Amino acid sequence: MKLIRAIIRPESTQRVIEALEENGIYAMTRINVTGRGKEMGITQGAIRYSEMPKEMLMIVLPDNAVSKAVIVIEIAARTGTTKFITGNVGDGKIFVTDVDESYGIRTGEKQ
Amino acid sequence: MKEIFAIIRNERAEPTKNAIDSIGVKGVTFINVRGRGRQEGTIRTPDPEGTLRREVGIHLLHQRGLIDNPEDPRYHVPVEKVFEMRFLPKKMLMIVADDEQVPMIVHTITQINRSGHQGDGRIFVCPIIDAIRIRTGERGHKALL
Repeated sequence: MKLIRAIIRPESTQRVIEALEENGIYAMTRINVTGRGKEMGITQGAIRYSEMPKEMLMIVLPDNAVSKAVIVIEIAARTGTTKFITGNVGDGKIFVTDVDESYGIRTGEKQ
Repeated sequence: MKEIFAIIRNERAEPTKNAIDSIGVKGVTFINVRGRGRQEGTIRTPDPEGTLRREVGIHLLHQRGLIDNPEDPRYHVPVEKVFEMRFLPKKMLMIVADDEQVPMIVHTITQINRSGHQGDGRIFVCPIIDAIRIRTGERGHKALL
């Protein structure tokens, strides 16, 4: 099992969720976060915003479903794709980590 | 070392904290999150108990025409009166603990949070490579004490 953590733009969240739903992935957790990447936020004139609001999606999936889900998130979360320019700074990142065990609380079963 | 993610009901956060304290695990982080599972959130139906147990997601209810279906009284809601909540507010708690503590923590969280209804939550156990106490710079097992 793997845990996918996708940090995406808040405005693209709905698009990503719909794309995941189309691919049969419904269970997920959403967290509002703030963060920045290697660009250190953005600068507008004299004002520097060092952290930008983002949304983090957490999805746990069996190993064989992970690569497809990552591609689905990637394509849905990428903004402004044209022939020459692909995506924008701040579209987000996806991290995949291991999950050893998973339990449903209602049944107490290991899944 | 393992990290335990438990996604639980908001109102069970306080009892869970006390129970975890009582088994000797002091460090815990709570986050407000929104989440959903297999049922894709909740939908209001004329079910007398208010909570309808279902194994299928909301999209399947719509797909199969179960919403606004006069033949099935459980789901017979006029489409314009359907109230859906696709994500529900939950608390997520994160605990980093030694391997041997994990079964006990999982057992405690399960016992406290089990109501037998859907939406009780889920627990994930993930491996952690290292932990560092910022104040002293201690690493690994010592950082958890």
